[in-house]
Amino acid sequence: MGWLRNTVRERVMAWAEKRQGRDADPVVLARRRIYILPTRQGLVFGTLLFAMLLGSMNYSSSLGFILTFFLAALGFVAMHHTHRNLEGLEIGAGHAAPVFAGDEVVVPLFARNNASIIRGGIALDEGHETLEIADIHPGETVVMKLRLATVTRGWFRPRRFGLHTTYPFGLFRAWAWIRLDIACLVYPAPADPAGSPPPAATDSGSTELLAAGQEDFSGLRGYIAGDAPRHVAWRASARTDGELLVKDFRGGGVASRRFDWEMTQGEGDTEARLSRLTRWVMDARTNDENWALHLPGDAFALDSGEAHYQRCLQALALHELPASDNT
Amino acid sequence: MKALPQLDTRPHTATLRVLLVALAVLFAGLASYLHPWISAFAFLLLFWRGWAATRNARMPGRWVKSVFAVLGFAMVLASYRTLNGAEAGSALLMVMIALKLTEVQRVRDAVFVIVLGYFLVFAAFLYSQEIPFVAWMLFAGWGLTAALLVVTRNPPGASFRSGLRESGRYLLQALPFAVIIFVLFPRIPGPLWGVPSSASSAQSGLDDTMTPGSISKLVLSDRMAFRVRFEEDGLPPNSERYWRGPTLHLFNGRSWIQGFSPIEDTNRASDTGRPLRYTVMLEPHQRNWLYALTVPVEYPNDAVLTRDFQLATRQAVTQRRVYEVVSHLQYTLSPQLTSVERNWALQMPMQVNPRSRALAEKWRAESANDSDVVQHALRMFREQEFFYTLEPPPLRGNTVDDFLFETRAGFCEHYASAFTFLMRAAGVPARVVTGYLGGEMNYFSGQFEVRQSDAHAWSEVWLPESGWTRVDPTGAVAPSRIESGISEALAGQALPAHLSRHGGDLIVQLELQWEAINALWYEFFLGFGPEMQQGFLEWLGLDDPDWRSMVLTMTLLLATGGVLLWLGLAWTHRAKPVDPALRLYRKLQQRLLPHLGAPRPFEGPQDFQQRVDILAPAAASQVREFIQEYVALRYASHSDASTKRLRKLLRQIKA
Repeated sequence: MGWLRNTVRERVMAWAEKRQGRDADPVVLARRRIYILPTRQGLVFGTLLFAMLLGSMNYSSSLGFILTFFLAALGFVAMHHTHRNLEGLEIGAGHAAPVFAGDEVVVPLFARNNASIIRGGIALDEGHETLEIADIHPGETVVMKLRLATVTRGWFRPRRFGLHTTYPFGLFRAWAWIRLDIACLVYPAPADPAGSPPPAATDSGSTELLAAGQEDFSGLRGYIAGDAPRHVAWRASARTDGELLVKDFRGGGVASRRFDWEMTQGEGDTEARLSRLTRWVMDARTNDENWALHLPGDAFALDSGEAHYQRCLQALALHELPASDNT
Repeated sequence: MKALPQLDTRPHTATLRVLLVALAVLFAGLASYLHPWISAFAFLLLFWRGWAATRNARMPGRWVKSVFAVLGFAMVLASYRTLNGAEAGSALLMVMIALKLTEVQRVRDAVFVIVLGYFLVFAAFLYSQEIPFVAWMLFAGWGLTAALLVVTRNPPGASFRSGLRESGRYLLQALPFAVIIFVLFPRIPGPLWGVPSSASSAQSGLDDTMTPGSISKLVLSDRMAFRVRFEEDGLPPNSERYWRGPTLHLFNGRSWIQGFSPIEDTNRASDTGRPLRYTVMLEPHQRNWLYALTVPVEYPNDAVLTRDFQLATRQAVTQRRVYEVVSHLQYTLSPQLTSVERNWALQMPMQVNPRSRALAEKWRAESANDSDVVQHALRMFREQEFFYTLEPPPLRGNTVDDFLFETRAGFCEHYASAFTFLMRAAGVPARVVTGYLGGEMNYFSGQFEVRQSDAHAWSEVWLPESGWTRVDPTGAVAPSRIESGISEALAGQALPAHLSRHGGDLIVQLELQWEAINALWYEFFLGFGPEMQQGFLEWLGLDDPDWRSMVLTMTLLLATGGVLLWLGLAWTHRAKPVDPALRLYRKLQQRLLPHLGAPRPFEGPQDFQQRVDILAPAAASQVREFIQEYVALRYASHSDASTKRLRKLLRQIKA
């Protein structure tokens, strides 16, 4: 049964995808792409209506008829409301922070209710799982977190996710499959720290130019994109007029390391080698060291800091992946 | 894959409380109709569940639940001796709901309880259709709907009050659709399977036997037998209002019994005179006949006119039913009498009532024909001392002799019985007819109301010149019974309250009004069956409606209504009117689209400005002016910014 259900589900989704294509970001849910079916409770309710109809006929009970028809009409109205609850909802995706392979990526989705009445119980689902349910009040935007498991490095593109609602009454379930252009960067999974250690530090404090180290506090400066949040001087910033201040350190003895693709030959296949390099870069970052990274076809000079770190990890993530996927 | 957070599917305590309150309203409405033990059991479990929810107590184990289940079913069986029928069924449903409450943990269970609750409302409607009860039950149904809304609400936390308000709105929207289906859904007559008789619907009304005292007992009841709506000016005079019920042929010395009533297809009445058309709303009386004025010529399809001119139905009347009849009040019934019929009409036990037999034989000898014999008997009742009373002394031994020669006080059944016996003893074919005589016009409803207190028995004799002829011996004793009704005829005697009321009384006026409302309720709503549906649709202009045209019309109307509802919802869901400043800001974003790309949903005006500085430096300073004005207009508490200036600034920006 489960097999049959999944097959049917896959077929239907493929059909819907073909019908709808890829969605613009943000997408406004149109009528023709919202599907609706009764829920299990709706079927129980329908069975009740049928039993009451037969009973009313048998007993020629006018009151029985009116009750039956009233509830049937209620179901009819509820169906329209459930459908309407999704229609016109605006969905957009935000930026998902990169994660390491095997970790969960969190894509923020912005669900915006342009209508003047509440959209109740809007649920975000992925596969068979409901991830989050929220009410969206008139004019409000709710951020929902699309949490997805990652397996491999590279650009991770969620194929689709779903939004559904059973509000009001839970008798019908209206849903829409959404296929936004979402790309999340997934870094290689860092290798076991117990494995081969990073190459020894070669130098100390020689790169005076780049030696914005982190050892000794030397004053405050303005925030530059890429600065670590833990260096932000929150209290000092609060006193300024909206400018973020960052604690600046003058490095004394900063360890410098060179990570080279060739050093990881003993690790095995490409993925294992990338994982090892990732581990080294991570550790160097944690210890506020300077490092350089050499990959076949890609090289990053000796540097430190968040931006350097991210550039390196991105290069590791996308190493030797087909170019078409690297956009 | 990492485990993802599970959503709580247990109904919250507050949510559960909403369900319990709705059920309490429902149970309270039924309490007076069901056995007190059943209600007590249900309320006990209801309160326990509420208590357990607040304390977060553990649900009972399987054993405890089994014991409670056995106890509940045993109580239903002990109270009703059956699980069948509307009342026992309701009791069973109530017990089942109460039992199910002990294991309501998830939303799905709660929804199931609500569905059972709806069914309980339905079952309750089968045995009571009184207006106050129905109103209460509909309120309970509203409560259940609110509970359904609150229970299935996710994220949870809706209050009962908001649930009632919101579900009330949905119910109002559903109302027109319900009306469309109610009017147009094709009704089929008769039951699909057997209708079990229930305890409270024990028959009330005339029986197919008559024993001294059976009708006078009936007269003590104020219950409605049926209501009649006559066509304009159609109300026949009092003395013509003989509503015919069972004709009784067999006499065993004490009781009159219907015996079999042979059904014949051909109507053997030759009717003349003006047809009288009227609609009868018959209260359920659990018997297989309808009431009509003699002699009916048009009547419902499922009824047949028996050889003794009674309207018989195949199914017992277990529900209030509305039917239309055309009667002819001038008629000749059975101009020829077959020998079988004659034998039936002369049957009597051989040895009983010797004095009456002697009297009859004497009359026979003195009379030239059968009509003379009839006149002899009537003259006796008229001229000798006979009393008309509701409380006659009991009759012993030969009942007719005892009545005619000893007690001489009786009710209509005594006179009809004695008269018919005398006629048979004298060789005149005769039989007893039971039914109702008279009734009361309710001027508020325009309906003619016939109650059990109008029950009556009279005789028919067969005369060669006129066929079966009605003779009412009660009229000879108490003419006012026929001319003005039973209260007049019994005036001065100690009577039940309903027989001694007078028209001017305020209470009586109110009662009449309430009756009138009830009558409308019964006539137009509860009696809406296949016949009324047909008539109503024709009145609406649907020519010769059959089920196909009804379904077609219904579908069309529902589809139209659906579209209207959809449009209405589109209107309520329309985008909010956008602030003019915001609209101008969006225009700016559109204009800068080639440079900046699509606006980002998380980007405020300041961040937008920063991107403009980098990506469209040529426009940066003008955009800055615009953004400053825009921010002041939308977010500053006091500023002299204006939409007009904003529009002017936008015009200056060249993309």
